[in-house]
Amino acid sequence: MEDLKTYAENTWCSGCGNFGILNAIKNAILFLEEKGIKRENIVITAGIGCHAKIFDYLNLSGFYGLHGRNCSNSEGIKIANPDLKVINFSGDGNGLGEGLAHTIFAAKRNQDMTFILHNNSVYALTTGQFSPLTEKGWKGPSTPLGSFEEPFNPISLMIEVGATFVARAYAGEIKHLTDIIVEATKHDGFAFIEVLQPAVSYHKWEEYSKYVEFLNNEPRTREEALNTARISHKFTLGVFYRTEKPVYHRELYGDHNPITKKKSREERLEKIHKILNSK
Amino acid sequence: MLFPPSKKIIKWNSYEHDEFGITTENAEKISFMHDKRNKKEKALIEHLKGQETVKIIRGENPNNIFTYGSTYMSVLEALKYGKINPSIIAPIYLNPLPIWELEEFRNQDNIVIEQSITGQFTSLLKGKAGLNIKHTITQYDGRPFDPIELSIKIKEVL
Repeated sequence: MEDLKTYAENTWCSGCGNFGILNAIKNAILFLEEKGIKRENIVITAGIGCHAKIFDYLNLSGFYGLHGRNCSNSEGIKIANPDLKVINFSGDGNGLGEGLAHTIFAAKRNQDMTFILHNNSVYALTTGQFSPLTEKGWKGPSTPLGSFEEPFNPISLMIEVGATFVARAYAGEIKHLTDIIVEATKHDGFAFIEVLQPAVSYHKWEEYSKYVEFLNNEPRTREEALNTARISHKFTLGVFYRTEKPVYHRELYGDHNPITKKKSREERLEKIHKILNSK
Repeated sequence: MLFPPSKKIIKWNSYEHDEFGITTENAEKISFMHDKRNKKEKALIEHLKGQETVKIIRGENPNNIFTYGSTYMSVLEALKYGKINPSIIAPIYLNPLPIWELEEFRNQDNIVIEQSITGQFTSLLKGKAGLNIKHTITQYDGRPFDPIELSIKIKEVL
């Protein structure tokens, strides 16, 4: 089996939480392959940011697109060939800032994909501006007096807009993160994983490890999930919500696959002639 | 061109990248990729030389009228109404501008009709195709040219 590592030089800061996510995704893919998923059927997408560098470090096919546009690329790939397993990487700035509309609509449509949000609560690659998930009071280059904006609650947000699998994990708990990724990829529908990712240039691991704890039980209903998401603190790990709902591509065209079941040119021409001659 | 699923890894990358699709900051590779993409223009021009890229209707009047897009039909109607018969030249592509088709008109009596306050089409023809433009007829009130009014304006500058 070919190595999942590429020859690209890794330029993440030493000690970055992204290394935890990279390890977890590699473990998850090896596990999924044992369960029968072929590596050539796994396609990754990434936005732009520190999170997105994972694209250069993973030896998998995929689309490294524009800032915030990872979801539209993922949706397109999935609808074109539903046999592919799409894993989408995003940062909190990338996915809930520029890409907010795409992220929300992919969830609303219940597109069958795994969406991994690297939450470091900052625009790291551009040296520390506050992001959609930055805590109030953050002093960065664009908010030297402290940010006065409240962050989103990504868990309740995603449940509300229609995601059918919503979980939070932590780059410091690699085993748990690996399991969540595997479950999310096996889940039929939009699976959202917020991963707490300490970015050592802006935060310390202790700010996370001091508070991280697991949910006692998985909420059983949507109302319970929303409530739990709202009242629990932002370092609470676990699966908040999962449900089965119709998946976009199946609602669109059932079992059809536009790539593998493509009609030949002759068949299509014949169909057009039939329609034109039937008048 | 390869598409997933594929055993061979396919990486599409919006950053500057090497031939395997891995992001690169290497100066040599970056220049090489720019050169590679730039070659497309040469290939495109060669391809266009075998297509119709300019609509030319030759007339007896020695003046030439240059137009493009929606202005084209207004001009045809204006000439029909005014019973005037200059040549009409309407490029279909503005970039790359088919200068090989426009060379013959360089030093003739050329009039440009466009709907722009800055005269961008005139500047393009002068700059890229080296055409001598003696007059530009323009209108920019958010409405198409009225053929009757236009024919009067054309007659004034023929």
